[in-house]
Amino acid sequence: MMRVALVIHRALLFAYPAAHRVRYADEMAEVFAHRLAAARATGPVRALALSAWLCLDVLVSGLIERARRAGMRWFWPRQTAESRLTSSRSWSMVWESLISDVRLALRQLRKAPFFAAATIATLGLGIGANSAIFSVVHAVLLRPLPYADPDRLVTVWSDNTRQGEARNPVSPANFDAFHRETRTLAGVEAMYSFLVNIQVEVNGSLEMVTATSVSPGMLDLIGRPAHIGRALRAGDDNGVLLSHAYWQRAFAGDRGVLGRTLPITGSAPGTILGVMPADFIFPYKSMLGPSGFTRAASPDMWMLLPMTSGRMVDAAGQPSRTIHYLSVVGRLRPDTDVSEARAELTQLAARRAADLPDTNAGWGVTVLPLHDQTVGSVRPAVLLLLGGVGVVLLMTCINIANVLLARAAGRGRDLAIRTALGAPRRRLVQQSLVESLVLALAGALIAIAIVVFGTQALVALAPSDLPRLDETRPDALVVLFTMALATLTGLAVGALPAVAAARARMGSGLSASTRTTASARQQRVRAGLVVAEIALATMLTIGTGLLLRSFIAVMNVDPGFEPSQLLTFQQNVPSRAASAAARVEFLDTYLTRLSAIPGVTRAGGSTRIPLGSTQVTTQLAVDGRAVPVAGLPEVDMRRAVGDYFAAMGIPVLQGRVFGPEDRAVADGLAVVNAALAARIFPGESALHRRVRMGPNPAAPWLTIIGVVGDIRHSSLEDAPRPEIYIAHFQGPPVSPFIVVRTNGDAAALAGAVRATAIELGADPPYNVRTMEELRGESLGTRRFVLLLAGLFGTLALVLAAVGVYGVIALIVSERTSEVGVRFALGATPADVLRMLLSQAIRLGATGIAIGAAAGFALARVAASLLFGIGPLDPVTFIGVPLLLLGVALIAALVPARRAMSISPTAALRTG
Amino acid sequence: MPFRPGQSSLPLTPLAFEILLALLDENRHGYAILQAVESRLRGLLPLRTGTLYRALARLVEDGLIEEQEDAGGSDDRRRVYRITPHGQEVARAEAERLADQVAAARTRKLLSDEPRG
Repeated sequence: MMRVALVIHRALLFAYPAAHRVRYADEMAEVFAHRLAAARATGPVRALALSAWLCLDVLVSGLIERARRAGMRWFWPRQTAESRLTSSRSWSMVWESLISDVRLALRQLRKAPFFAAATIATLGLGIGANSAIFSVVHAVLLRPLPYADPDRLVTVWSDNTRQGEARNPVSPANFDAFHRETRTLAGVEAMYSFLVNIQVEVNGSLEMVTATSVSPGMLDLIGRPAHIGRALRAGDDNGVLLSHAYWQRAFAGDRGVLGRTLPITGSAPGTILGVMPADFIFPYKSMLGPSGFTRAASPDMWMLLPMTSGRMVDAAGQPSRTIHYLSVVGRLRPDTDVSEARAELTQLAARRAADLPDTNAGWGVTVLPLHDQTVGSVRPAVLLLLGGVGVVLLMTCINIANVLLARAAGRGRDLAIRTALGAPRRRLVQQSLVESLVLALAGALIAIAIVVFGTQALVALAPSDLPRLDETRPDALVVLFTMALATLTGLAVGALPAVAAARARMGSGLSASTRTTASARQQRVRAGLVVAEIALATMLTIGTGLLLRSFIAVMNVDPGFEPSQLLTFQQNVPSRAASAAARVEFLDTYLTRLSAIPGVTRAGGSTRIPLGSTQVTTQLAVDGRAVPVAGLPEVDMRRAVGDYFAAMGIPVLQGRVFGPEDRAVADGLAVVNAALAARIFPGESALHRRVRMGPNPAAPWLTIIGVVGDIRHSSLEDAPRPEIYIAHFQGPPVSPFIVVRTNGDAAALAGAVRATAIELGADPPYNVRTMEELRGESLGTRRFVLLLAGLFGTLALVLAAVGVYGVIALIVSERTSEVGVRFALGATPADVLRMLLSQAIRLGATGIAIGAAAGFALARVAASLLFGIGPLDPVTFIGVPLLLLGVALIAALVPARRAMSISPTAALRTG
Repeated sequence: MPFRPGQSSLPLTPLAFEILLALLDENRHGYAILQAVESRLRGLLPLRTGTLYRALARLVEDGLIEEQEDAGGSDDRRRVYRITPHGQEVARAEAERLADQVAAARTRKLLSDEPRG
């Protein structure tokens, strides 16, 4: 943020005349930087206030200096000896004049209540919308993460250079090496790169909670102390930490939970050691990279990762080198930065690749600041929204400036009288600025109300995959931003009328004629403003159009399966079914019972559901190919339960899928998708080939019996990944996702499904959602951005229409006598109409051309947000200009038609 | 008041006088002047950078202070301001004028007789 302030300050220095700039600009910038750095120590709000104040001072001082040097004595009277004596009183005089100007402005606004109300409301909307989006930008992009010294935290991934996956989870052995050997990081800790659902018993009833397991030093590294109790540390093997939200939900905020035992299904009971603060969220879903989890936003519980047992170690008890599932977080030492850490860890990875080529060849590291990892992916979209809403405010200002200009033109006589009575022009300018500032600040009050409600609405609409959006709150910073924006708006809007006031010619204003024909200069200014408005509207509408087309393209992506009429949920196999055979029996019975429910056509399951969960990957060895472990390709692995492929509607391309006849088969069987077949067996058939999962030579060989179609798994926008399925009876899962296809409404089956599970003595299913809902959720951020962009685009069109209407109406009212003369000379109404409309088209075409060029540039910059279309999408770039031309014509038609019915005699009389 | 040399620039604005005071001790660069004035006034006169530099420019124009490129030590040239003899005269004249006013205030019991520390 400091960089932004410095850049703005530098730009504002141009307000000073060149001579002053050449001598003092560098120094002033330096002084500004020093003061800002000193103010940062007192807090971000004061720093922001100070920088805004100083920037405003630069602007005003610069303009005054310019005026002084240009010898514009009428603006700032040269100080004579007498005036210097009184200069020490000048501040109170200015203050008094300001107060009287405010009173005058209020009186004049009271005389035109509709104008005042409309202007204040419009300004309030524009400013309020901007502040609301700013509060989103602040919460999502600017606010530091809720950890101690969060700028020093980085995230470390393994870079799988052979498969082009830069953010791969880290293996325990690599983490161990980073942990022991790093010099640039003060600490390196790890956690599962996914959240897990575990079942706990609270107050006698069982419920599912989301949990994460972290290494012993992780919470210390993050640095936030517990709200009550203490955080986890080494040795707390059965310790459990609760999140504030879960503590409120499950224990009603009872402080007596400390030390209590929490029974955990399938594991030793945990002891509650502490509760974390309310704003503590770790990890964010986006921190977990490609292996995030289901829709859960943040964990309810933290536990310790068993570093020396279970999945973390290989057969020899050493940290596993071949399985990658850790997310790694590090803290930089005070004297290092990210690039140094990156260089060191890259070297470390290269050394390991050389020492252990069988597992580490081709694996590098990716090191990112933790904040970038968390919000980097949504930065373009959020900034685009900020730009969009800024454009709307700009257009609002232009419209209002036009209106104020028209009012000022109407007041020429009044100003002339005041000048004749001795008012210095400075006062007239000040008056004009004060009036627009009063309007803007009154609008600011409305804006604050809009911000409060708007923020609530935005949070309610928040898609689950837009990180930190739910932390948006209107706070002091946002209010400050609103007031600052209102002030800037007021000055911007009032600048043109103020200049017009300063230029008021005494003579012409006092003449008896009330002709209010605008001078050529004024007409040019007005025309220029409307062209600018149309250009802005074009640019914004093009942006919205491109986003809409992208959204439609994503919606139309064939997911590879049939998403309609499909109910999905997760089901825990009851713990009494302890052995593999018992689990198979339960799943078989369960699916049979589900298929018997009226309305159900097929039922099946899988260990991962598309668009609703992560992937598990495994390395694949192929029979007959000798490849070192590090070179084994990684593919997604799933277990297919029952009639999964038929229930999902995934086509079988070659061979067949698992069926009841395979249960008696002793050898392992596998089904792969087309992407895997193309990757691993290019140009040949994958059928009957043998593969093995994992690098362990003792693992069983699997024979491929079928090839199925590709599906989109992690998102509709990502290309299908290679997948291998094994049958559930050769490896039954404990909590599979179940899919149930129906010929009616999928959601209506939820009750029957639940009843079936309970009848079989199992826990009720959870995460129950239709596949259409999952698909909709996966589009959450795109839809959110589109909604807002659509809103801004619509507003922009309305504002542009109002602008064109205003200009044409003004032209009509000014040229009434001219039109009357034309009629008298034999022109037809159609001629007049044509003349006015052609003016509108000229303005429109110029604006559209400029706007289209700007829109194209914008599309190039924001290309990452587009899907399925290029930045020069013809539909958008032809459709939008036509739309805007149409809008301009219609807006011009209304006053033009009035012009057609002007009676020549009446027109000539008023002229 | 009888005419004396240096009086044509009187009265000085409060800011200009503070700048001259700051430069009487030693030559300073821009930021140091700002800090000196702020610390002396303890926030009574809010200082804005733009206003400060305009005042500096005016004082240079009027010949009360002058600029010096200070190449001391480090390699970034810093501009240092120095009060001129004319400036010292004007500052003294202003101080006398203010002292005169304060004496008048004391006579009318507006201020107590003890000088402030």
